[in-house]
Amino acid sequence: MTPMTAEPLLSLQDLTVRFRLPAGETVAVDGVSLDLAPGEVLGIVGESGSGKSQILYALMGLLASNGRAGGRALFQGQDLLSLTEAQLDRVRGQAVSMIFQDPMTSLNPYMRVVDQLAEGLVVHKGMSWASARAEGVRMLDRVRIPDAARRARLYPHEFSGGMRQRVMIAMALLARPRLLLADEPTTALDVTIQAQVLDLMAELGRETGAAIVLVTHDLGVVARLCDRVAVLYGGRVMEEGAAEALFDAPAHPYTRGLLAAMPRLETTLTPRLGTIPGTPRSGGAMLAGCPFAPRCEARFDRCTHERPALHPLRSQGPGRRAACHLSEPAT
Amino acid sequence: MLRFIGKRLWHGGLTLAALVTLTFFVMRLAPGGPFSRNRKISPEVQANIEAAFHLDEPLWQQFGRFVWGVLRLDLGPSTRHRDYSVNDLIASGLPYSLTIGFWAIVIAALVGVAFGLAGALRRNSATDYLAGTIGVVGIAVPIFVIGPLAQAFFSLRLEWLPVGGITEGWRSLVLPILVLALPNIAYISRITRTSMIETLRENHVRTARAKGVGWRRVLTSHVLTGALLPVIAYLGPATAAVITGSILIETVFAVPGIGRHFVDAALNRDYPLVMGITLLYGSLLILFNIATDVVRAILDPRIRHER
Repeated sequence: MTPMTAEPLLSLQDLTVRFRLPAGETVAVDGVSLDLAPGEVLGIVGESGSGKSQILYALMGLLASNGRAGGRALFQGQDLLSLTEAQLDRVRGQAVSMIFQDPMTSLNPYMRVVDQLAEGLVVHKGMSWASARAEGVRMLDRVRIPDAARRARLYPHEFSGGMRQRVMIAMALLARPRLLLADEPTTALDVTIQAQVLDLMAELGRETGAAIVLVTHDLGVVARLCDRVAVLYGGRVMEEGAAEALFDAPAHPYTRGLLAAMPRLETTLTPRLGTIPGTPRSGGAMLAGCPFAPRCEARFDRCTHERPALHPLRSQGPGRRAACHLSEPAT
Repeated sequence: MLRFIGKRLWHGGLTLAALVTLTFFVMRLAPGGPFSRNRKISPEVQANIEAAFHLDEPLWQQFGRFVWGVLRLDLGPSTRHRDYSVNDLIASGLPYSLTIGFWAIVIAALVGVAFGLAGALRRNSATDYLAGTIGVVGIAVPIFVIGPLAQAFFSLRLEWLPVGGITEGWRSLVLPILVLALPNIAYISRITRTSMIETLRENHVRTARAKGVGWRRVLTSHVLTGALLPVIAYLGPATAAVITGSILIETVFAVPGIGRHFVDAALNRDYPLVMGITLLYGSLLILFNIATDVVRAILDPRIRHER
């Protein structure tokens, strides 16, 4: 393990998420171990179905009723996975907040925006509704909702998608959480306002000192905001490291494929973008080998029946890890 | 909000006017008339009677007379029940139908919603199965089967309650109310359960849970409103239908309500009574629909803000 400069704020240890389905059990997250330092921004990248969002739901106790989380998720020394619903409610919305993917449906259509903001403060901090609402309006102002005092009294359907996601950000940061979980916060938004919303989230995260876990399939978003990146495939971490180091020298064939599939402005225009052959793996039973092996151009015998462990890449500096037999140190 | 109510009332008035016109003319399109059946009567007598009820006038004049009467809340004399006006008939029957219907719908709403909520929150529990069974029985078995069974058991065997009639005060009303409530309990509990399960899956409920405000508050502030909207939409028209009397209930339990007039009046070609009953049911239906819309608009700002 690389030495950490500080005690991690969040430490996932062999986190698994399984779902019971009529056809049998499927594994969505398969032994993920990650550390997050206070104030750090970690990006979790992966294709649809790679299990990236389920990691966040597991932490929040929001898995679907047929889902089950295993392993440990230590947050400030407390295992979130072992908490009861009532104990979780003392963490959710206070020390840990979450922003969801679809702002159009994630706000309560029957409640004034300001009341949805104030609710958490009233319940958790015992504030009066009046002062909690005032606090809510101040926060709306900070996420740059124009004319916040008037708009606060409106209902969500009177807001645009971008404004609703800013309301979600305001709601999540109102309690000054130590940890902010963001599940593809800009996927549902117009391309033109994605950057605005992301920058706002990062800026406010820095101001309040919150660490952020940002789940996305957009490598551009990761490069823009994240200190560190974990690449997820088939529910496993394929590669991990400081964002810049990982993008400069990807060690895993999957990461290289992802980067090749990303359009870049600085290189000369190639006729076509790179693609990764095959279809992404999603769920399914436990695997013996590497989940990416069937699609991997560099695959060899060991890949299909021996699971590569996540091992440090010493030549690439601290915190760089990959799970590929090709980059394993010779034993 | 006032504009919203005003608009709904205006639309309701238009609907009612259309209803009055249509019923009036459709009724007269049907062959025969109030005095054109069974007993042979001399043409002079026939003419006299028809003159007394203004049936000899041209149709548009009859219509004008009728509309003028409606505006003065006078529905005219019954052609079948001698010496009774339609107002008298409705006034004598409506209180019974109203009492039975009112309590039936109150009980149905309370029990139905309770069963539906319990079923949705504890899916596949004993309560859920009990509610499901009541739902199937209440919808599948008609009142004219359940009614006599209830009479046989509670009245004849246990002798707790009278078989029928209205002579024993509230005791006479218990069975009709419960039997009338049963199918509504069934419908309401099913609507509640389905919409509750749907609402629990909604994204904004997940947001509320993520805020950690506690399960009880999630339910009361973030789930119930959305889950009950379809129930309220059902309750409006159902209430109008139930309080205007059920012919089955009134026949099985010998209650002199107005439900029986629905069928009798049409069979007897009792023009004024048919019109009166239609008008009563129509206006109640429109009124309760408006009430439903208003309640839904209070709960759901998206309905309130439509245009």
